[in-house]
Amino acid sequence: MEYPKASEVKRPISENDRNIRRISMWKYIANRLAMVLIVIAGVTLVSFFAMYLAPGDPAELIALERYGQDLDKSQIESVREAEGLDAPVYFQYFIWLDHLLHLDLGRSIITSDDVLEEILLKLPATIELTVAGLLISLLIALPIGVLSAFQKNILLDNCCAFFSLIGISIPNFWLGILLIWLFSLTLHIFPSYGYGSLSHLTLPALTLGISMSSITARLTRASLMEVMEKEYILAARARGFDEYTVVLRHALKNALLPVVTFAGMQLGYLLGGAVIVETIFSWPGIGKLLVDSIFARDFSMVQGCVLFIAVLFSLSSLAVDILYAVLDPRIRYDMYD
Amino acid sequence: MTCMTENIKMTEKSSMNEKRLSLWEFGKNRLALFGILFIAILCFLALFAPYISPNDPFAQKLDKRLLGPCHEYPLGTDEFGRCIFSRVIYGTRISLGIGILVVAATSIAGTSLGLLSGYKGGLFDEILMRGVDVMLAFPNIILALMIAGLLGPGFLSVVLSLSLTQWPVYARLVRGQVLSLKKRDFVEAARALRPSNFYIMRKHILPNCMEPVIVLGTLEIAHVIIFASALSFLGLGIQPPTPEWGSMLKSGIPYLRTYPHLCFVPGLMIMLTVFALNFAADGLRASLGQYAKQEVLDR
Amino acid sequence: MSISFLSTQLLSVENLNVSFKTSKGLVKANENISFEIKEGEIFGLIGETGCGKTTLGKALLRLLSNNARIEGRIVYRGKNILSLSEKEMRSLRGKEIGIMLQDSSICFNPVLSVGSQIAEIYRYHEGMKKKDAEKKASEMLELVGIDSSRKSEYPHQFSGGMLQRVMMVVALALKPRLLIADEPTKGLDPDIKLQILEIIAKLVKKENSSMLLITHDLDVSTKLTDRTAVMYAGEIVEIGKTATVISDPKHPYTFALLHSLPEKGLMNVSGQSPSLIFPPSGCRYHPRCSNQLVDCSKIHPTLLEHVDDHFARCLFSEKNSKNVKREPHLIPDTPSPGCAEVGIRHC
Repeated sequence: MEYPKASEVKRPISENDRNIRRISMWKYIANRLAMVLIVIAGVTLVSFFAMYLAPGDPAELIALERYGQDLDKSQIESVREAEGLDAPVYFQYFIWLDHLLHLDLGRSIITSDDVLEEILLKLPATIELTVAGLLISLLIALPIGVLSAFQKNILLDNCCAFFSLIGISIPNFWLGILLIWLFSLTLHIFPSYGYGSLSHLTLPALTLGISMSSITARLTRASLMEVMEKEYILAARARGFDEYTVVLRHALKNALLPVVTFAGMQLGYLLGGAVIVETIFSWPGIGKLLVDSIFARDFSMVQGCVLFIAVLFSLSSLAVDILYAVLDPRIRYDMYD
Repeated sequence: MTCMTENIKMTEKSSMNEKRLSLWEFGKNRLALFGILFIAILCFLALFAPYISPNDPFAQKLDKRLLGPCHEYPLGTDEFGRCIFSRVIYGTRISLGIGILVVAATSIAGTSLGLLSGYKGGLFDEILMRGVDVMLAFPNIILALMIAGLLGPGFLSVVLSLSLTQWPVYARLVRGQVLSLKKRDFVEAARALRPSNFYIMRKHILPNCMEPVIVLGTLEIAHVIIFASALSFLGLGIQPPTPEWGSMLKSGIPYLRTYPHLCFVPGLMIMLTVFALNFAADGLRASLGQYAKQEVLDR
Repeated sequence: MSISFLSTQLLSVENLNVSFKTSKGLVKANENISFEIKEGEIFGLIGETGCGKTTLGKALLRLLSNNARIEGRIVYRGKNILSLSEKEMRSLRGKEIGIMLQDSSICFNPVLSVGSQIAEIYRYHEGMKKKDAEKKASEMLELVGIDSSRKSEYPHQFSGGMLQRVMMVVALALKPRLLIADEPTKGLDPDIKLQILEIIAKLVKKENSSMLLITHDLDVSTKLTDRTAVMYAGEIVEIGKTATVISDPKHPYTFALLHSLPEKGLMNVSGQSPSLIFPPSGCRYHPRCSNQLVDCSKIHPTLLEHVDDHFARCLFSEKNSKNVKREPHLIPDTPSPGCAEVGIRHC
């Protein structure tokens, strides 16, 4: 521990100091932004070169898709030239990157649709699903987490813990099938597939939400219990505040901070989970587009989808980090100190 | 002098007590015990599948399609008249096999990279950590999905795609551990004797990173099993007729209304396995973490 | 000064036992603790780390964790604290008895500004409007020498000494009759230590409050307190007026502590501090004691009065001093004259 100097103690704070502090907040954001840009650059590298994992000559593969089984060499060569595949690999990457910077993700090998247009067309459905899933997960998780943190009844607490463990252990494709079986095939309440109305949204959103809620509930509980053990909670009690004030004013904000950061990570899980959930429920989102494109061996579409999801995820976690910095005064200055 | 030896004896005794207690804690946690027992049973099933399964998992008997549980077929038959029980038992081989293979590969690779990166620091650390960030920017299963899709279905492509995408978790964890260990006095003290860097890493740093890596590894087996069966479920992993839980689940969907047991059996198996692994990891965490916990009175 | 003769009992602790159930066994943090604090008195509690003095401080306000068991009586102005309801207890905390917990750097909510944490006390307890409360908070900060413009800053932006002073403001905000100060100078530079002590003593004297000063720093205790109790392994081993305890220690542990001070030769107290789960047999200090007798490992000595109002728990002293009154220490009701005027003698 560093001891404060006597001279430091009596030093009045000047306006100058404040400016330094405020700049450091922006510095923090700038830092995070730079980091995200580096990550996105890396993401483009990975998604470009992953394509080379596919066995065989890419030109031949594209030609196969385009002209059918019986190819002659000239057809392959013409594809190679047309797609720029005769250039060195790194050169191809930079050309691809250049297109990317102009928001051009290329065209589908199969349907010749514009990849970005296709993705943007499917985006609303995915966002609808993810947001609904996030809301459901928070609606389930926060009450359970808070209640079980203060639960004196060991049996009830254990029940909460047990169900949250089940929730963590249940893969979402299996949960989706269970929900279809229960609500659609047995009880006939909700449709098992399709898109358009709230009742169509219910089962997929529930599937996503439930599988996420258990982790959030655990985190909320653990974080709240950890905070309640903190010395400043004891100090608040020592000031004679009632339990209500102690929890609401002193514990909850601190305890929810990690939950907020987790929401950013959760968005990634939701996007990833959406791939499977969309496939099960035939939900016309990016996830289903991705899986369909993989089966169709539509490489440019696959590349576009993966890149888009990764960039979306990176940007959303950046947003969460900034939100976190606004909520928690300690974070802002950490990088500066 | 006597009081010194007495004190030493006392500390020895108390540390013995701690060890005993931590095992006891582990036993007290019944769910963890259940988890370990269940995993042991699974391993047994996987090893002795040919001797345990009552029927050939591949044998199709079209006259015995979609049977319920009966004497010959303990869990009934599927749409091709194959014994579900036998197929589930053979399925443990694949799921556990993938889980263990991937976790072994990724934990070794990730731990060594994290160790190097945390210990060496500098440019290597910077590049590796940005690499980890990039890998973790692909949410959840997306990257594995793409790689498996490009490589084409099959056991190897599942193992490869999951190995390529799961190592960063270990690297990040171990690096964090190393960074905090590096500042600790005992490492500083060991350094003062100027042994080789490799020696310090192996003798002083690695053993202290092992506990969280073991816990993470147990959890990761569960994750990998979920991911592998998800890939198979989507049709990108193990292909039928090979008995795999995810692909069994998928092929059962058309019969969900009339013969739900086709889906329920493999689905429950996946869930129970993951459940057991999670409990085991929880128990491990609690019993390994015992040393860290200390009742401090004067605080 | 005239108060001292009229001084009445503010808080008395009678046969207090505090124990914790842990996985390793029952930790007996406090055993048979009895003492009293008079109005306007500064009472020192010294002892090494882990001897249970912080536990005692928290027990007085019932701030211990759920696994703690408290037995005995803690009487504050005629009310037994241990039998009060939680609601009555809350009206006592902060208003009647303030506490400065150890390590001020972790005692403030990191996401609330320092000013708002002071203001909320006034808003909660005195129903002040937000503006008034904040004004009051600024005044209080100025009182301990902190520029009020810093009230919108967060705890991590303050230095250790400043936080300590804010802590003081918080503890004294509602003008409690008794202040429990747990290691108020821990981890501070010597020059700041003095500053802090001066301010505390000034504020406490100004309100004519009493104070329980918990410290391991003998220096601090001698400079500030009227009476002192020395704690060892969960027990009070010596208790009396600070001046007499310092000049004529009756317990070898006190003696050893005194001689560990720099000006007295910096001799360390040899050996390890004992376990509170399995305390040594007989006299708890005997494994480390240089005046050990044969009986020391067998007989657990009682707290006996050696001189007027000076009690010690030691067989050796019992044998060597002739005028030991063979009466166990309970609650001496004779007022000790002249406590308040001692004040900060050497500051």
